[in-house]
Amino acid sequence: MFTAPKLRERLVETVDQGRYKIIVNLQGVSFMDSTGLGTLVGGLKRVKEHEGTLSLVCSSRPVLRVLSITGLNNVFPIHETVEQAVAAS
Amino acid sequence: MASRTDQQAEVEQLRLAIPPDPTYIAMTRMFAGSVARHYGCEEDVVEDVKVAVSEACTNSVKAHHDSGTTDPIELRARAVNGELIFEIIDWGKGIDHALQASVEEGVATPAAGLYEGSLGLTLIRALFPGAEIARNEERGTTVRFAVPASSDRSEGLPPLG
Repeated sequence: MFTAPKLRERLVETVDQGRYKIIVNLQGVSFMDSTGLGTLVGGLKRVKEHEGTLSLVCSSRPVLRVLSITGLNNVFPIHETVEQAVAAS
Repeated sequence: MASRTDQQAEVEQLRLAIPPDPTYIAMTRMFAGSVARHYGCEEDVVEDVKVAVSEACTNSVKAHHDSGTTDPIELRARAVNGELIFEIIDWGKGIDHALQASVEEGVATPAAGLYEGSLGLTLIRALFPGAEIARNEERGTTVRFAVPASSDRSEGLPPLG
């Protein structure tokens, strides 16, 4: 809840700049709640309006669990490294 | 083993009260995680507890903000019969009945609808299917869920250290 607004702002800014293939690196994130998930979903909606993609880089078990339990692991492409995400996009 | 009195049970209930401000939510996670570890919960359970408490407290902070109340939000934990019970109690306007019903019926799923908001209660129920989310008699909402505690620690609060 506390850091999600910064992510939302950055996602909006990136889309406004015409960048529609976004990779969000969550490697430094050890905790995510529904506010963070909602922000990522909001970002995905925005890039999809431009036929873009939003993929995640994540290997944190707690974060992956939250993504899994909400079914969002089937919505976002998830990669273990930025390199893998770049190669896939 | 001697039976425990109500007075003892009351003493061993742990409480944290926070101002209705999002900057304190991380503190509730630390408190809940520490309590769960102290009672011997598995590490995966500890992480789930932190998520559920964070979600409930986030909703409570919003509820207090919306209703303009500055009363503290309370997080309680107590060990009873092999379980560690967490309660998050706020004094906001109380959960909306329609939202409560949709959460209990499992209608709201983030992946299905790509919801950006109102995922908190859904997430709590997904993590702890037995979680209770109810309006208080007077005002506000209480979220309650239980996790299994280590059998040798669930009869009371073990000493610190």
